Amino acid sequence: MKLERDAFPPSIVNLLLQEGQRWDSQGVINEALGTGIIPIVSSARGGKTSLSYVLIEYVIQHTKRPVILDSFPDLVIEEGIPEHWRGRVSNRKFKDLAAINEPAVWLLDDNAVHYNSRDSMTNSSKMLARAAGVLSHFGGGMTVIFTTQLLSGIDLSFLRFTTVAPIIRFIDQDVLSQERKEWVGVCQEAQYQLASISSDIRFRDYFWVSKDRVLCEAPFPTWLDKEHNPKVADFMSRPMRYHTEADRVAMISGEVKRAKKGRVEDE
Amino acid sequence: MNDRRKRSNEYDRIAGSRIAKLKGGVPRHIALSNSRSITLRNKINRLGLEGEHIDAALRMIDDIGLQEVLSHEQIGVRFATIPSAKKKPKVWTVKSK
Repeated sequence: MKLERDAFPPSIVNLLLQEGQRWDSQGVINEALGTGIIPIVSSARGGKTSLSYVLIEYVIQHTKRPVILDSFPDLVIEEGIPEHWRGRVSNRKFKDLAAINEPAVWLLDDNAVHYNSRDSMTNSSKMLARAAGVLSHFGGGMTVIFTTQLLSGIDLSFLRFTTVAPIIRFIDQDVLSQERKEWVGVCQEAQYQLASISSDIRFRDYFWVSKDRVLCEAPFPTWLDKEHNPKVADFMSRPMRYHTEADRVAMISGEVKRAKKGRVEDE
Repeated sequence: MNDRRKRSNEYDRIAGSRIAKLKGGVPRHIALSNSRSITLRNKINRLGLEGEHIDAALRMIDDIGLQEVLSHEQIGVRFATIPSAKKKPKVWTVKSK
């Protein structure tokens, strides 16, 4: 899959390219910011993960930035990722952020499980919120792509302190009313725009970039196609399935460490 | 929302639902024009007049009646009656291909 340098609207390319890299967007030469957050919002099986892989593919093709698939099982990294991603992709944990001294692009898949707003005072969520404020400092500027079914499931602090370029895909009408009031208008407009052009019942052929207020065609990587290689497709479209049973249980039961007042690492 | 607008909205809803229940609705000149449009039609029919110039005259009578009705409405309502093409969705295009 070949992606042109201006394959996506400016707000997305701005965060995917490394800081200072230039690109021509509709005749205007821009210099990339290279740091911020790209939330991809959609209901289950709406194409969040596949679109995040397309964005990573873009990073692989047009930059030298390392890519980190947060908490992906080792098995998926070893057997699932495409051949041309090898050497560029790792599965460090987001809590190791401070130890990474490169302008990495992180993928935090299915965020609501790891950084749920109901776990807002856990160490991981507090760290995530703090990280948003210093993303531009660490490693020369990092970008976080994260996927979630609704922004109301995410700790709000994460979206307060940095540049955000949201991507909205299909959201179930009955779920949409549960979105945060700050975002519900954006999500509703996205559904209207997607419905006006898409022939697919779950609008999987397009996505809405709210910052640029434009629809964009959603490419689908061939290596993610079940017909092409069902094993690889499953590794990559449902990576969390390949965690050990103990990890899966911990993930959904919310067995996360609560932050304690006055702990040195919390300060 | 002022009282007049509230009442007119309520009336519109009732009128709309009743018109929709009539088989096929009523012609535009009955629904949205005034009684002169009906009496003039009757007169023209009785005289046995037909042709393009008669159709044009009837269209003009209907337009005048419709404008009279709309002149009592807010500018927003009047503006909404103007026919307009549906806006095409804005889709990102790759220029460097």
